[in-house]
Amino acid sequence: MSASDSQTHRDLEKRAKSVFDESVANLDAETCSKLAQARTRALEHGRRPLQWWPTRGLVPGAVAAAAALAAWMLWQGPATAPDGLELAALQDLEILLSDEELEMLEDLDFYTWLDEELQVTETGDDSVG
Amino acid sequence: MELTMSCELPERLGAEEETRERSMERFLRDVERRAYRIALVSIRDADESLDIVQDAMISMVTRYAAKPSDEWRPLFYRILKNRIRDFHRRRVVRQRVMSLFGATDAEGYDRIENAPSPEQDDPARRVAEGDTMDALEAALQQLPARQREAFMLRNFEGLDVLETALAMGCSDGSVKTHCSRAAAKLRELLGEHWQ
Repeated sequence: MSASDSQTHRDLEKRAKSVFDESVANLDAETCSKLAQARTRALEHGRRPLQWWPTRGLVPGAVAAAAALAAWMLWQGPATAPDGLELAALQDLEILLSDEELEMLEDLDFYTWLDEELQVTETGDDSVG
Repeated sequence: MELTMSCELPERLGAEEETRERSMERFLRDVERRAYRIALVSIRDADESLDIVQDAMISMVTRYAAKPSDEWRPLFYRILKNRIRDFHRRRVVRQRVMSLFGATDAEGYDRIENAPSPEQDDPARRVAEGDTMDALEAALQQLPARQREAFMLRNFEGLDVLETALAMGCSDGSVKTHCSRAAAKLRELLGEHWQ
């Protein structure tokens, strides 16, 4: 990289930092307030005794649901599915089984409901309850 | 004497915890706005960015508060980076699941239909309109994720090369390469007039 390119990069970095700093300084009051609340909540978590596995009761169900979902996704693929598809499904399974993905699994009820709603809409059944 | 010592120990431990919590409070106050803006640049969703910053703060407080305070900044940004990556991965999985059910998105939102047109997302055009931060965001969006992370941590958060390497989980050489390529690409995207 030439000296002039290097200087240009430094100028760009300096300008980018200045623009970013300005955007941080001009954050709206509502966002700042929400961030302050988030900080308070985080510090409250620090005062609680550490819970190693707060959602222990959910684990067997979550694992079973994730495994069923992954199996179904593999089954949906064509018989001559490329290796990439299986790999993608396995990656999905890994994501679904990570301890931070329980929220996603809890949403499965929503997806099931949505599917049923779509089927009802398609058949023209608009009964309530 | 023994009784005095046994009373003093919990008191001293309590005072140490209080001091550490005050330090952590100052640290979080110092990084929260910049962390939020960095998350917002990466995922372009204000509510999700707030959630991600809060998650990163909770993880920082509950898992890493006992670490030396000079390690907090790179650790915090490593957590934030992982949360942002998880968000993107989760969105991909969710979209895949949704597509199996034939829906466009969790709330029927069609991302393709609602994606900005190339003209809307053109950084050089935004520069011409004087919208500098929007122009910078649009240009950063077009960088590969690793280049964007390195550029933002070095220049926006002011981490040095080693701290950035720790936050990104890569070598310091990689950080320099990512930053240099990011700057070259940003210059190309933003045009000469931006400076």
